[in-house]
Amino acid sequence: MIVAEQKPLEEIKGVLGDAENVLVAGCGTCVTVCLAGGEKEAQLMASALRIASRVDGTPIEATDVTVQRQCEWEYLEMIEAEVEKADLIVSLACGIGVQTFARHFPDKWVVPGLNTTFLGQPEEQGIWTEQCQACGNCMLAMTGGICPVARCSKQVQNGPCGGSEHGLCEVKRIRRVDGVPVMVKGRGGRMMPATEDVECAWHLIHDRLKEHNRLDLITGVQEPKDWTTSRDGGPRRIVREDLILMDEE
Amino acid sequence: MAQDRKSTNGKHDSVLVIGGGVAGMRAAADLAESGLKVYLVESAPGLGGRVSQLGFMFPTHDCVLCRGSSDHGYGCTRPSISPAFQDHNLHPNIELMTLTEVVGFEGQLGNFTVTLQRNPRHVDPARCINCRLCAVVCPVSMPSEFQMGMSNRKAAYKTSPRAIPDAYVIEKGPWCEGCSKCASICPTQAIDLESEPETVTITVGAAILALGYKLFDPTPLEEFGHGRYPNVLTSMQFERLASRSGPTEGIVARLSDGKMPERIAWLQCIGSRDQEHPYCSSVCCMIATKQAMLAKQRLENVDCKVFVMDERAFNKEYTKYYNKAMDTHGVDYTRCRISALREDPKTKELILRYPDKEGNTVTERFEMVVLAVGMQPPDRSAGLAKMMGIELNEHGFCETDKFQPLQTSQPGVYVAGAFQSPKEIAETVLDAAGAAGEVMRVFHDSLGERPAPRQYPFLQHYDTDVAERDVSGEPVRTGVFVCGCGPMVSQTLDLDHVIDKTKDLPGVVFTDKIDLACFDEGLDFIGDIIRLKKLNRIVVAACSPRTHEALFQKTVRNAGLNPYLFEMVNLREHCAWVHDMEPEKSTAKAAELVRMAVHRVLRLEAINRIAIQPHRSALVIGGGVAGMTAALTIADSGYDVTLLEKSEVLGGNLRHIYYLVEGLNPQRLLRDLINRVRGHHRIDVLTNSEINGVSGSIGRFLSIIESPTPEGQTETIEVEHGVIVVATGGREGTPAAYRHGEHESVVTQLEMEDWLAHQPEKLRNLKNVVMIQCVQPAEASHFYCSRTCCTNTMKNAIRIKMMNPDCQVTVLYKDIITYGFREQYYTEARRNGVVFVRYSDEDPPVVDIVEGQLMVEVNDPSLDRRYLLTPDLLALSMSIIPADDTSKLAKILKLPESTEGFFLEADLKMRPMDFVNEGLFLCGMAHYPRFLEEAISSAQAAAGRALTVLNMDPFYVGGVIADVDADKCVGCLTCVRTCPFKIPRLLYDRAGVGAIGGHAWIDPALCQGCGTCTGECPASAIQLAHYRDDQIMTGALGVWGEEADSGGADATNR
Amino acid sequence: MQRTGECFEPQLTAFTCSYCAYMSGDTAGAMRIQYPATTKVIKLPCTGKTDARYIMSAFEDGADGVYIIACPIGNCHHVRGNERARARVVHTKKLLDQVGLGGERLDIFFLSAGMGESFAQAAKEMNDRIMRLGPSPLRMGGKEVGAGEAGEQKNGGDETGEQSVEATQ
Repeated sequence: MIVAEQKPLEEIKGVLGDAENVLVAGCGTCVTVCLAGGEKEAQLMASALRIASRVDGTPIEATDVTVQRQCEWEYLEMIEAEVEKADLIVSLACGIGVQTFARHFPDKWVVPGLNTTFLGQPEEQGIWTEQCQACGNCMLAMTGGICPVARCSKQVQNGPCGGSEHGLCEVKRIRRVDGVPVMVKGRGGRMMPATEDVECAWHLIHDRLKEHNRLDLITGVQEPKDWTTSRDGGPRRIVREDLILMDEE
Repeated sequence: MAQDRKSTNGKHDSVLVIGGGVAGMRAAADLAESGLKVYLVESAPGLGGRVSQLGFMFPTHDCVLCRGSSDHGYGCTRPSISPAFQDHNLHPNIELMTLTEVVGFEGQLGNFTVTLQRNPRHVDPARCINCRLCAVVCPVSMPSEFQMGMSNRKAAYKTSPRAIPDAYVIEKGPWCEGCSKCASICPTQAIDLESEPETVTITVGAAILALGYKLFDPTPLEEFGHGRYPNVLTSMQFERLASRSGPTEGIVARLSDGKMPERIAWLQCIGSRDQEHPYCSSVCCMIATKQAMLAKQRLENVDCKVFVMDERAFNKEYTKYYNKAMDTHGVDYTRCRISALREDPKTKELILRYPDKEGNTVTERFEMVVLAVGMQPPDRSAGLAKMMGIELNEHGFCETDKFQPLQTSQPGVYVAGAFQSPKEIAETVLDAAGAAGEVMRVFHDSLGERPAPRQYPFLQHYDTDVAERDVSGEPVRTGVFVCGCGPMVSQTLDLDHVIDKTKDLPGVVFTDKIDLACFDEGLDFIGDIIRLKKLNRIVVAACSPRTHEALFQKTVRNAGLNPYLFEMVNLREHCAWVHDMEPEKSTAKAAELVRMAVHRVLRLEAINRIAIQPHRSALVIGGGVAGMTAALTIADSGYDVTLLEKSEVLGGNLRHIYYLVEGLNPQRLLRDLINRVRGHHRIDVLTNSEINGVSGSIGRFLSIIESPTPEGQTETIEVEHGVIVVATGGREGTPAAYRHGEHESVVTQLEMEDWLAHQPEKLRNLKNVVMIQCVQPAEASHFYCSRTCCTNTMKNAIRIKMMNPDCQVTVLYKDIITYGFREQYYTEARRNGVVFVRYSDEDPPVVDIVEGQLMVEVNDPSLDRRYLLTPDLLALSMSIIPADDTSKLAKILKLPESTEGFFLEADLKMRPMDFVNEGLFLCGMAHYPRFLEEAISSAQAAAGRALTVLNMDPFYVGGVIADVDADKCVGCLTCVRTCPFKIPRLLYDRAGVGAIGGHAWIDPALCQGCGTCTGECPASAIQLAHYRDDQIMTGALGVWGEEADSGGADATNR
Repeated sequence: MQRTGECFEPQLTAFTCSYCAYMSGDTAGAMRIQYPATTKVIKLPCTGKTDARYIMSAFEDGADGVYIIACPIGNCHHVRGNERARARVVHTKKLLDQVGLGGERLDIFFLSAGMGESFAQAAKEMNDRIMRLGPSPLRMGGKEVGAGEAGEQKNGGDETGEQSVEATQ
């Protein structure tokens, strides 16, 4: 699913301009599941904006509404009345929802309330990890269900590289809590972001293939990956002839 | 079916429970639930016993006695264990008699005549409003027993803040001079100083002795200086000191100077394991470990040292707990028994001397010393035993048969808890539930005759003739009753002002003051007004809902209203009593509290629990001694049982045990059990059978069982049943060390027992036998104490010595765990010449084979000496592991497992035989390794608990529980992941929001009503009944006063 | 009129569970321990039930401060509800900082049923803290009448409690 996290309120307040009627729009699918933008978060955000405006002495009235999926305009249509009343919409959906909003209500100003972070999986309550980068050319069949594109820091196709040690990657991840890097005192007393270990994806791939007796899959050299299905040539588009009715010429 | 069960045989269906501690309360609650009448007799003024004095329980550091309750709603913390013991919510089948002694006992099973002496309380609990005035004016100041003499109390006092009965008591002992000030000041005339002891006679069919124990008094042992040196405490004194309800609210400080100690020592086995007390008190090791951990948490940089002979951490999770004390908290354990100490008169430090590893004497100073005092038989037990015709053992505890561990020598009289043998809370609770189970079996004809099915949150009988009025269409008509509590509230608060502020609030149609709402006149007035004014929401502003909510809910229900259309405001404990220096502000706060309640009741709705008619039969999984005992207890009580056994024969581990350390023949028990089970017309035995799936919940389970047909095919049977008893047992682990399998002379203890029994002649050739304790099996990921192996080793060592005295027997051990009276076999083994050598985890024994000869090398860390042994037989004490496929069964039954892989019960201490999943019960070694007699009593406990369900006709579930709105649920699994009881499930066959497959479902029979899921649910799809978002966010959460009401809710029903 | 610390009467909302936490308040009562009459208690089945929205709603309703009283860590009747409450308090404090009310106006205490003294101490501590921070800026806009409160306590909408905002930032 799509994983997102909330922007700091300060940033959202900064893009409200002189809007008075603000509609906080939650989305009931991925961002509800990742606890970033569902009904409860929309209510909380609206409440926070109302309190902030009263503290700041600005005339903002914030209300909230949640639809099942903001990325589909049929759902947005259901909240047309609420949207009509608002000067500005804070969308608590992923980037797709924000854009669907902008496109479906061309005369309304919409701002994102979330940072869409990655395609990932909940490890446990409160922890999500990236699993897929939507490269458009899945190679998981070769790698035992572990993706080197999303989970290898270097996206190496013939791994592991020389930086894999004891199952860990030489590239460390910046440790973030609630989106904010955790700072620790580094050498020389300077504050620097704390890092944490990342498992080497290729190490995992090797172990898993070994367990399944399929090491043959990675003993050969992998040809360079075809990236044309990825971010090559601008935004991607899918056309399914079995699903669309073509106009007769 | 219920019909054919009844065949009155004239036995009295009343039970006497002597002792109101945790065992007595547990037994009384279970018996009451099963529909029998209980007289609960306690000599102290209140319930709770020793447990009420404990600040925390090992290994969970819970105080949470409220978890002793198996149903939803209130369980008070202390000292009560169940809603059955709230003062205004006492179970209707329990007659509580405090300050009462048994002075006469005669008759036989089914018909005992009991004479009771009821000593005067001098305070009428029905009139006592706990105003404390009697204690304030009382001139006597005397040491408080509850605080172990570390603070004072008056002669007019309450035993503990939440005493049951919830009333004061006047102790007219030598301290009281009879000044009568208390009687004069009592605002409700509840005190009668002239009342005399009364004698009453009751007739009961059976009795349960839950007398508890007496703490050993170390004061006569001058060498420890208790009573002379202020910083020498008993373990119970330290317990109070560290308790949050103790004299310092949990601050551990020295009694001599209030200084926080930096070095504390615990001296173990004071009054245990000595010449006069040749038994182990079973709990002191863990208490010291717990107290040392608490001290480490409370005090920075404190050094905690425990002087102990053997650390007896022998129950579930205890090994882990003991390791945590050492590794995480840095508690230091020194293997040594301290025999004396001195005080430095200047610093009041205590000076201990003990030998170090090299044998040199070390002198160390401590700022506090805790004496871990042992358990002794209770004071009056000898006289009581004589009167009741009960045999005591040589130590003065109750004598019982190994095969009937809860039965005393007097038929119809049962025993539970420490009076049977020193034991901890969990074992005590098992005994109590087991004794109750035995009584239910004997009085099965009377079960369910006094039903109390928990239809409403209060248990007391309500007027069933009054139908409940459906008010859902009516406009809200709220009545507000403000209680003055005699003078206790009205003297501080201006109640007219409160009423003035209240009468125009939305929905309010009636307001009035009552002098004492909880007295009969007050309750009658409320009921009359409800009927007269057709009220449909009630607010009572009085004292704490914790003590009085059930009482008023009952009144509301008797007036025809659903008891949830009611809200209580605490004007006393939370207002008048804590702000009496500021009457105006206090009145303002009172008005605000009432305003909040008025806004809340506007939105309240009736809640009705769901009636469930249980299938009147049980499924018992496992055909060992525990399973067979449980099956027989249930079947004898008149319910059908399906007994499932995976192997082809009944008997389990008992088939391989040929003698007990006590000398009895367990094969006799085995034959007897199998014959009774096989011959019982209510027990259907399915051998070679396994359970494949279970659906449903408490009362209504459906199991799918794979069972062989006589033709040798496998058939799938569906069985309906109301309860499940899990008795799948455990087995000896497989050796993976010490050359087992490489040399024929390396055997497990069980293998050795087999040939000790069948080929004793082999013994004659043995010259040197070595036994290694605590061998971690191949199956276990970490070591844990299996608690039975040490005694088993004693048994076999003594047998070898008996049959071949010239054979040298050496036992290599870490800690010898021979708890309770089993200590005497350790003594006997040593007396017979068995040599014991300690080894440590860091330096375990090494076994080699040199030219076919076994060589065992071991280092004794306490003496730092190496031994080389050349045994001709090496026996390994393997840890006991859960039965094979325990994990698989756990998944089928949706039950959790402990860190050791055994089934995990609802609460380690208070509910060792229950699962959080109601309707399932646990016993035998499926719970944890245990002795035969322990397996039997735990099976009786599980069966007794199961019978409380089977007897309900019907029983009720639900109430204040969480409910998922399928139209809003996105199936995100947040509730599944965050429920502390793992109750929500995703139903994939149902449609959630937008008709997407799968939405969460919370079983109303299982939900505990905490609301954690509602707080986490990102879609606001879960609401907790009675605490819905709109019922909490009423608009009255913030600023005070009626001005905030503008824009409030409309005063109509939803 | 800008209210100053002297004539200002804080109005606090406390959420408790119905187990240890609520009963610590009962114990304070039984022991007659005095504390400021500035807190109203809302009893929930468990502090695990305290939704961040309840806390925000109390502030929106004009509360000067909010606190939660939970059972001691490890002693929750519902196993870990108090830890959930703690996590939500940490999160909501950040939100309060962001909206300008200040996270200091929110806190959580862990009390066992016997700790009446500590219950009163928590009430005093929150009362004193709010006295120092001043009234909630949200309370300044509307007029409120505490039933026992004397004196004029209205405020113009243009005075937005900058004092307290500064104090918390």
